[in-house]
Amino acid sequence: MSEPRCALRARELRVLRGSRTVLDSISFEAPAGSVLSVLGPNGAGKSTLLRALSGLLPYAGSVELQGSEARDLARLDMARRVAFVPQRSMLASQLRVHAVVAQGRYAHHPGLQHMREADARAVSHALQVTRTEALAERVFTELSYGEQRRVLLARALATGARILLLDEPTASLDIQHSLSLFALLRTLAAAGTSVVVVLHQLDEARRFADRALLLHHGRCIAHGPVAQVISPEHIAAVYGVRLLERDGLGFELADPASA
Amino acid sequence: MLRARARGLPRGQPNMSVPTTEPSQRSQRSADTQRGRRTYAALCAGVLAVGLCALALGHGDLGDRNLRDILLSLRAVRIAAAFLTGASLAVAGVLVQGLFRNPLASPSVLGTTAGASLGGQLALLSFQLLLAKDGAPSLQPSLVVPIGCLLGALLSLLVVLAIARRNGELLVLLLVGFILSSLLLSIGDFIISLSQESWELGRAMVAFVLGGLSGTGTQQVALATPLVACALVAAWLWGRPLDLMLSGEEEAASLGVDVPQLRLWTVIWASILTGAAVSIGGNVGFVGLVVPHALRGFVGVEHRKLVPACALAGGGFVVLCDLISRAVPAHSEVPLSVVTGLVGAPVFLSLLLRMTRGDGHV
Repeated sequence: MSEPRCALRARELRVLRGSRTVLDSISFEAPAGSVLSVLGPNGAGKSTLLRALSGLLPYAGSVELQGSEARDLARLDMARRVAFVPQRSMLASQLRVHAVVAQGRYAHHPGLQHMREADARAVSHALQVTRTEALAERVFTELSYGEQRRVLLARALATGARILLLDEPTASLDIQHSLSLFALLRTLAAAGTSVVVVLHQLDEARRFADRALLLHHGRCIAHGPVAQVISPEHIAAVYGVRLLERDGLGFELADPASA
Repeated sequence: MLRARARGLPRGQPNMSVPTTEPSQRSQRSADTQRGRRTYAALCAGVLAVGLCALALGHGDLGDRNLRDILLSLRAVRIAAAFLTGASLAVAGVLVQGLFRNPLASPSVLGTTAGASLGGQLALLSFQLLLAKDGAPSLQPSLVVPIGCLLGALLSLLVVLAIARRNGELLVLLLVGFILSSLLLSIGDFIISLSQESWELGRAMVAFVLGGLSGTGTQQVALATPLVACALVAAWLWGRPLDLMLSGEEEAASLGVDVPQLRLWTVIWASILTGAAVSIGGNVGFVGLVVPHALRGFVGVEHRKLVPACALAGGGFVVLCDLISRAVPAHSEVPLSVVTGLVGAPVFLSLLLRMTRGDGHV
């Protein structure tokens, strides 16, 4: 059976935290083989959106994953379809990197079986493409923040999921690792994975994403090709800054007196 | 259409070719495996040695042919009881520490230790005050108390689960366990103070609370063995999702773990283990907290390795402490929980210090 063209589709998504509406009326599509960047100022609901899409938060409305409604999927099936890379792992135990990445295979053999050949291959492959092979026997908590980010990405890749959700993956990464990461995301997208990535840097989104979703106060301000979403009007409306385009993207405060 | 965006990227872009494993990584992994095997071998040898010592040493002369069989069978039952108590508490400790992601959690945090203890006290009180007077020849105190312990553990578990169904957050579970423990221990203290009216009852009550295996017989062991065996196997089976829980509930759920189910079953197995342990050996402290903590330095944090190692170490440790409790020259046996604290604290403290010196981590 061929894979649906649209890997992820949200319709009228609404998320409540207590009595507060954190996300409201969010509708967008993330086609297979593309990179969608989720943009918006702090508190716009970007991380909440990723958590809802990965089934970690209850929601109203509809989220379709490869043609199936997410809330109808079993937890293991969900984990095989969507991989979520958090900003920071809560892992505080002395687990080696190889074991952390192998956790990504849990949804493929949750029972008694040991890792099969296919699982071992997936883990090795994930370590290789994230260039974390040399870290495989290091203890996860002893790695630098940037190394930990790459290991978390390797764990997500080991799941074999075709929808990848990443929460600010380049935060605190140096330029070399940021560029490597984006190159990897592009490679994955070219191989058919749907990548949804929360980004703070608009120039990164402009450079590496195909589409963008701009959020503000939990609502969708714009959605579509990235060049259309990152427009002077939208940026001024959401961030309150002026978009300057001379040699690449630049910004200045719309009202300097407000600084 | 996808645009080529790899301009300006550093060399060595990721490729999707067939992976390889570095020889140094393989050797590191094999060193870990070797270390794990050595630890298991040492634990098995230690348990065997302690068991043989416990069989050979104690009051009574094994040279006396008439007494030898009786003494050996009595000691064997006691060794089995000690081993079950220690293994149960240590593995219960592994489960709650994994569940709460806190190496300082002990099995008592769920309130079932206090529940089992109170159940045992109530059973003892009822037996002494009602059954013994009215005459119930078929009932022995050695059977009534463990049944009371198991019922007490079950009832406190039901309270915890009822609240967990309404709000399953770990912090809520922890607080409920703490409040329940405080309440049940207070009631237990009240019963102890009441039982001081009768010298015999008061003595039995204090002996039960301090923990000990002197009155433990085949019936208690037979009652607890299937429960402990099931719970130990279950703890091992639940090992992989518990490993994922080390990354927190959200990450575990995103990787496919049914967190509410895991939480529920972990609480159930840990409670069964603590209830069974209290029913055999009374309230023995220290084992569930420190044995898993110390073993992580040798076998790692993965639960499938930690559970069998802790069962062996916890079991062997309580067999050793019980041997000391009956070997120390005193008017009567030194309470088991006193020995576990006195022997365990310095041993495990030195282990922890060595581990901290070794790699900077506990």
